[in-house]
Amino acid sequence: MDGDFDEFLHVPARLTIVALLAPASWTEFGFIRDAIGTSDSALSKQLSALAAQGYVEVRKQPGTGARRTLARLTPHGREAFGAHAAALERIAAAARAPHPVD
Amino acid sequence: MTPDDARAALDDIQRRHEQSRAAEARHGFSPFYLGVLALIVLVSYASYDLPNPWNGAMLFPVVALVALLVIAYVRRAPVLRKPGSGELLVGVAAGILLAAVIKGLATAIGTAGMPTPHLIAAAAGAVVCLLAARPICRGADALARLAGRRS
Repeated sequence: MDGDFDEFLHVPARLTIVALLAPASWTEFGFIRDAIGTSDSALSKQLSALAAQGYVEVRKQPGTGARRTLARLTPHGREAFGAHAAALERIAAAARAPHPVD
Repeated sequence: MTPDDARAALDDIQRRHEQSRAAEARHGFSPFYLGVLALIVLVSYASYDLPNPWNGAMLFPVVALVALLVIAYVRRAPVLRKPGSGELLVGVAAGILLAAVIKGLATAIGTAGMPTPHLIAAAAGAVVCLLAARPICRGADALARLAGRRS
């Protein structure tokens, strides 16, 4: 297996969350939940796991009404995601590479 | 992990990236923000038809309106992203071009002897904003993605 392949990140729910966060600086909790079609508690669990690994940062946006929860990739998480995506590219490219003749 | 699994994961990552970008664009180009943008252009330029000392005075409340618009955008956006330098450049260039077009149009209308040349030119500018904002920003986004792929 490729050295940059991240087993923790490759869990589908986590990879989906990280892929949604990657193009943004901050992403709203409600948007992530609706985009992946999960429940508040399931998303909270995955975000907590990602935050515990230092991949994601979660914060509450102060306001007058209901407080919004926002999440973003940390620099460490962004780096790990980039490396993981690059590992996936290499694995996918291996299928296209010519096989040596025995 | 087979190459097919890796390809499927990469496709899903790409799809999720697009989903984030689409949410950002949907919010930014909602009728509310486009309407306020058109109103800002209309009010700020039309005020140049007012007699002195009110000539151009609307620029000051418009700056406050822009600040409020930015705050509302940040507090409501489902996806927040810092624009890249290419996107900023396109935005500034589009703003300068719009100002030049409105000024030129107002001068031409004024020369033709029509009343309220700035109001007419500003109304045309507001319509241009409503119609052109989305394609311009799509172009800027495409440029940013191209730059991202090259780096």
